[in-house]
Amino acid sequence: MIKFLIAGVLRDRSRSLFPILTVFIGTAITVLMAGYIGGVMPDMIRMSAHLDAGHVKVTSQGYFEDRTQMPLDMALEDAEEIIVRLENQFPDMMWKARTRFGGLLDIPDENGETKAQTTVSALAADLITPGSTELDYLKIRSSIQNGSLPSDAFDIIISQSMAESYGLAIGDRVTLMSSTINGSMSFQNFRIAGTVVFGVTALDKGGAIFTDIEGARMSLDMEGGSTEILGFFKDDEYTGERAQIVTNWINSNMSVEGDPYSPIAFRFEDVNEFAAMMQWAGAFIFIISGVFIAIMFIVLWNSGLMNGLRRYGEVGLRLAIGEAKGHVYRSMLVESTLIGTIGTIFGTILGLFFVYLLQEYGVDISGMGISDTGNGIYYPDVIRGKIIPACFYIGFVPGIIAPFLGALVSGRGIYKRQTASLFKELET
Amino acid sequence: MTEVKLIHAHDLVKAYPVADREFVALKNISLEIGKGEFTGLVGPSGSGKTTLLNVIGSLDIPSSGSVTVLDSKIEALTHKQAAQLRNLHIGFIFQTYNLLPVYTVAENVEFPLLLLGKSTDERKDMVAEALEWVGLTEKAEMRPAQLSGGESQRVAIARAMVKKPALVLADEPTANLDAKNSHHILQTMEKLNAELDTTFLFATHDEKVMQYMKRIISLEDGEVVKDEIK
Ligand SMILES: Nc1ncnc2c1ncn2[C@@H]1O[C@H](COP(=O)(O)OP(=O)(O)OP(=O)(O)O)[C@@H](O)[C@H]1O
Ligand SMILES: [Mg+2]
Repeated sequence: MIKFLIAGVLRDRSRSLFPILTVFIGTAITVLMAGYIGGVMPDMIRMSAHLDAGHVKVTSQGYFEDRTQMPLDMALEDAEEIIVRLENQFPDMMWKARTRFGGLLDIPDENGETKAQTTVSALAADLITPGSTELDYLKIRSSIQNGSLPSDAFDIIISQSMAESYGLAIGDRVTLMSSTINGSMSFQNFRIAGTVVFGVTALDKGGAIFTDIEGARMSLDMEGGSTEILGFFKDDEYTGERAQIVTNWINSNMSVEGDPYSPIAFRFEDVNEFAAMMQWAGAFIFIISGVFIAIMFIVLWNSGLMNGLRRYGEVGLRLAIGEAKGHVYRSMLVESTLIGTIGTIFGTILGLFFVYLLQEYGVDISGMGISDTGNGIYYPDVIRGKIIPACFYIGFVPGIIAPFLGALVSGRGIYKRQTASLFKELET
Repeated sequence: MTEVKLIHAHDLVKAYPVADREFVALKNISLEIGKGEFTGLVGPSGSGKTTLLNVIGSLDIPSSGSVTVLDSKIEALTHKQAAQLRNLHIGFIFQTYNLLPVYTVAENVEFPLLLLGKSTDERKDMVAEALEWVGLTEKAEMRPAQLSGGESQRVAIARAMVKKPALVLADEPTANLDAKNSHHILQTMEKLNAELDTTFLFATHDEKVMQYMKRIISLEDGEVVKDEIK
């Protein structure tokens, strides 16, 4: 019987082509979505971790509470000691001190008189130690527009747009005015080593400067300290479970209950509400399948009804030959499952092909200005898919369920109509 | 006329609800048809021939009265039992041949055997035999669209006969055929009736068909008005 059904499906194009195409397109898109999520999520995690959150972030308890204000006075004064301890405890991780602080940049004219002043937000990180990953993690190395990478603790990198607005050139000296960790005023001269264009709106928008961590420590009077310590797994593969072990250890071994200056650690996903996003992304694949089940179900239900009208004659005949209604109905379900399987196989192949293209070539969205969601979550400039295991099977969920449901509903007409009236179709 | 009664109708009434009243298509029909008969139901259009065939074929149920076909009371059968009765014992032939267009001639004939759960070998032999009866062995692999009307109807006969049913119900089997093909079809059925002792019940108003009948039951307005054996 199944052979008969397969032959029927394959030979009667007008019956099967449209449903197969529907399933084909639906599953291809589902697979593409799965591959898109599978590729973009890790990229987003990587980028957001590198730029902002780390895989694990350590700050003082007081700093974390007021983190939107970036209170310099709540910095970890013994950051370097903490790093040494953590490096010993977690040899598969590297730890980086970073300090965020604000200030006023004083730009002099040829005579050394103030030409202009502008507020800046500075990020201090290890930019000059040979082999430091920070130049790459902060995307400075790949974004240099003019000049060169910093080579001295008092070299800074500024955005190209700032250089243009204030007529600054490579090698120019500027003065950064800010307050030290103790609240007194500090004036520090810096040399402009290079300018950067990130192509990421959030990073390029004016006022961002990068200084070396040691230069910042000297000018802010915080030798050995930093506002935050970021931990990165050396293989750059983040999972919540791995990070949890690390934060648990830090919080139980280094935190002191009630001491705002003692450290506290957070996982990447807990720093910027990324957890919700990651869960959502996991659910997204199933939401997509659900949406395609619904869409394809409605389409296939209708085409099933139309086909059913066309096939009343056939149904009547089969009943006349002595097939039971239930048997005819079940064979229609088998038939639609066959159609679903064929459509899904080809749809999955097409979807995998698209994901492969997306994986190999990517789509550059840097021009679209959506790279930053504004809450420390960064999209990569080039969207890349990834062929993840789900790509191979996820299509079968909507691809089989939708045609089956479609036939389940549209085929009910067989039961509703009297045998005799189905049979009547044979007479015309 | 043989003694074994294959069909037994008693006070059979079939009424259809039309608007808010009823239309009575068959009025108190009582008749018996024996095994091996070659009988025609004749009468003007609307006289109830098809309705009667459908009830006898267990495709429809009587409104009142009783119909027994091969010891089964039609009015008491469940859907499944009715399907079973048709599957095992009854073959249908229609005015429009109702071949399944996506299947070959051989597959169309094979279809009832699949439902009976016959093995592949059995099916192959039985299909070959049935196609031989109707002289279509050569066209086994063709599709219905490639056949003439007469050939199509012969395939339909082969399909109805392949399982060697006790009863074949044929509703206007020649209505779409020319004279030559009509005779050919009837001769084929006459031969099968003789060889296999299959009972044939026709519904027709075709004179050509009537001349082959051994018994003619005339219907008018849902009533038997004449019943003659030749
Ligand atoms: N489902 C139905 N509902 C209402 N009336 C019906 C139904 N089926 C048949 N009838 C009526 O019953 C009567 C008998 O119909 P039937 O089809 O048996 O006639 P027939 O003798 O086969 O005619 P023909 O020679 O034209 O095929 C007709 O008047 C028809 O309109
Ligand atoms: Mg009729």
